[in-house]
Amino acid sequence: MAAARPSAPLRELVPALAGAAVAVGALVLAAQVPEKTGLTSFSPRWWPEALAYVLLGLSVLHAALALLRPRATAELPDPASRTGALRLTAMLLAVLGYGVLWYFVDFRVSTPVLLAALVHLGGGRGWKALLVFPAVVTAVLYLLFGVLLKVPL
Amino acid sequence: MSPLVEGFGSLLDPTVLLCIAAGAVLGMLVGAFPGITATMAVALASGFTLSLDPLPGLAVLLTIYVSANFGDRVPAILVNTPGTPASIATTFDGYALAKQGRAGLALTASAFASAIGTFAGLLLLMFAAIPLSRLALQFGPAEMFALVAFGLTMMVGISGGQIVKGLMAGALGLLLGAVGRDPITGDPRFTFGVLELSDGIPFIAAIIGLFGIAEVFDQILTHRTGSGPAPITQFGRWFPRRSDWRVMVKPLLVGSGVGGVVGVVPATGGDIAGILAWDQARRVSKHPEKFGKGSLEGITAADTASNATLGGSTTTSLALGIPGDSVMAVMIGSMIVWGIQPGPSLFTNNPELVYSIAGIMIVATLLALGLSLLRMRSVAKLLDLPRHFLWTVILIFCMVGTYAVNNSVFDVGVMLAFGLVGLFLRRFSVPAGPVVLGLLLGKLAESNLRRALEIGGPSNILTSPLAMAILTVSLLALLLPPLRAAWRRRRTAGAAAPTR
Repeated sequence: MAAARPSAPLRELVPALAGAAVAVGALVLAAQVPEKTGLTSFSPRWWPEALAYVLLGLSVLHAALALLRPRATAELPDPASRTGALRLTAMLLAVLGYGVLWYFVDFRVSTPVLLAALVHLGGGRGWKALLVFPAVVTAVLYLLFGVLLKVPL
Repeated sequence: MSPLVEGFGSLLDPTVLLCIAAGAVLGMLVGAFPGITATMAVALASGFTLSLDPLPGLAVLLTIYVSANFGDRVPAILVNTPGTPASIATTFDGYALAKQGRAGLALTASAFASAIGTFAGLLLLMFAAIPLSRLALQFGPAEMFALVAFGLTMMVGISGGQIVKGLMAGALGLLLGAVGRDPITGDPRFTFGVLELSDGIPFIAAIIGLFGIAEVFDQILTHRTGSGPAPITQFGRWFPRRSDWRVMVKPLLVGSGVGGVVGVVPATGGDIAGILAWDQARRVSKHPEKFGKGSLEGITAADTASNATLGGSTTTSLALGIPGDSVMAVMIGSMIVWGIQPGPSLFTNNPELVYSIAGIMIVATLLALGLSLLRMRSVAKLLDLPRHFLWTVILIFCMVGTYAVNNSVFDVGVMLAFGLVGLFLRRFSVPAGPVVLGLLLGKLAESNLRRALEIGGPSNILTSPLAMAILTVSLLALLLPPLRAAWRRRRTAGAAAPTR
C-alpha cells in the first residue's frame, strides 16, 4: 500500500509549497491594506508582512530539510483509501446540499434527510439506521437547540 | 462575603449542578470513544454552551474536560486504544493487565489514580494561581510579548520532532489572527468587506473545524473495516486490596509531582505527563521489569500524572491568560466570548469565579470517579458503535452547534473550511495546536510587541531581564530537542563506525 504513495521527500514538499503560497498571498493582500499616517509608527501592514516573510522563510527551510533529510515512511499518517476519498466528497456535497435545502425547507424536515444521506454514505443500512436514527437525532437537536436554547433553527 | 464562600456558594445553583451532571456523563462518553478528544468535545460543546450564562456554561465545559480524562482510560485498558491522547501511557500497562484477566482492577485503580491526580493538580490551582497572577500583574508590554512567545514556542517545541512544521503552523495561526481590525489603529485588514470578519475569524468555528471536523474527515478518508483488537470481556476482581494500595503509593506521588509541573508549562498536556511519569516511576520502582507487562505501578503513575496536569494547566490559563493545554485554548476562547478575560486581572475583577472553577472541578472529579466505579461494562459496549453513526452525530452537532453561537451560516462555512484545512494539516503531519494558539494569541502578541517597540524600541525588550529570561527559555525549548537528536545521531553513528 505504501509503495503507491508519493515518496517522503516529495510528500514533504507539499506543506512547504502550501506555506509559501499562503505567505505570498498574504504579502499581496497586505499590500492592499490602506495605510493611514500619524497614529503610530507602525502601519497595519507591518505585522502581517513580517509574519508572511517568516512563513516564507520557514517554508523554504522545510523544503530544504525535506530534500536533504527525508522522513521514514513509518512516520507517515495512515494512507487514505479511494473509497474513503469518494465517501468524503459525497458527504461534503450532501452537507452543501443541506445548506441549500435548509434555506427553503424547515429544519425538522431537512435535517433527517441529511442524516439519512450521511448514514447511508457511511455504510449504514436498514430502517433503523436510515429512519429511526435520523428522526431521533433530529428530535434531540431540535429539543436541545430549538426549544431549550431558543436558537432560531 | 469572601470570594471563597461566594465562589463555592454559587455551585449550589441547581442549574450549575445539572450542567455538571450533564458534563460528567458527556465527558465520560466522549472520552470512551477513541477518536473524540477532550479538546474536540469541549470545542463541540462550546457551540451550544455559549447560549448559557457563563457559570453553567463553564460547568459543562470544565466537567467534560475533567471526566473525559476518566472515560478515555476505558478503551485504553480494554482495547489498547487511547480514548484521548492523555491516556496513551495507560495502554502501556492497562491492556497488559486486562489480558491477564485483571481488567476490573486496572479500571478501578486507574479511576482512583486519576481522581487523586486531579485533586493534586487542583491544590496547585488553589495555592499557586494567586501568587502567579500577582507576578504577572507586574508585566509590561515587553514581558507580555515574551510570555506569548513562550506559550507558542512551548507548543511548537512539543510538536513531535516537527519543529519547522510547528513554527510554520504557529506563523499561519498568527497570520490568521491578523484578520479583522488592527488592534492599535482599528483599521480593517483582510476583511474583504465581510462584516462577520471585522472581529476576526470566528474562533469557535475555527477550532471546531480544526479539531472536530478534521478528525471526522480524516477517519472517513482512512477508515477500513475490521481493524483493531476485540474488547476484553473477562474483568476479574474490581477493587484494589490493601497490598495493591501499598504498591500504588509511590507512583501516586511520582505522578502527582510530574503532572503538576508539566501541567503548569503552557501548551503541554496529559499525554506528555503520563509518559514522563510512567518512565520516572519505572526508574524508582523495585520491579522495573514489570513495567509494560501489566504493572499496577505503571498504570497508577501514568494516570495520576495525566490528570494532575488539569489543575496546572488551569492555573496557567487563569493566572497568565496563556493556555495551559489545547483544551484550555478552547476554554479561553469561550470565556472571551462571555466577556471574561483570563489573566492576572481576573483575580482582581472576578476572584469568586476562580474559586467557582476550582469547585466545579472538585465536584466533577468526584462525579467522574463515581461513574468510573459503576463497573464499566456498559461503557465498554459502546466501543462497538458503528462508525457511520459516530461520524454523522459529530458532523451534525458541529454544524448546528457552530450555527448556534452567532446564528450565522457564515460561521458554519468557516468551520467546514477549517475542517478541510485541518485535514490537510493532518495528512501532512503538521500540528494543528500552534495554529489555534497563534489564532488565539495573535492580537495579544501584535499589540504588546508594537507597544513595547513604540515605547522604547527594541531596547525596551532587550533591557527587560524578565522578558529576556522568558525569551531565552523559549529559544532553548525550540533548539534543545533538535540539538539533542543531532547529538544522539552523531553518537550512534560514532558507535557503529568501527563495526562496519
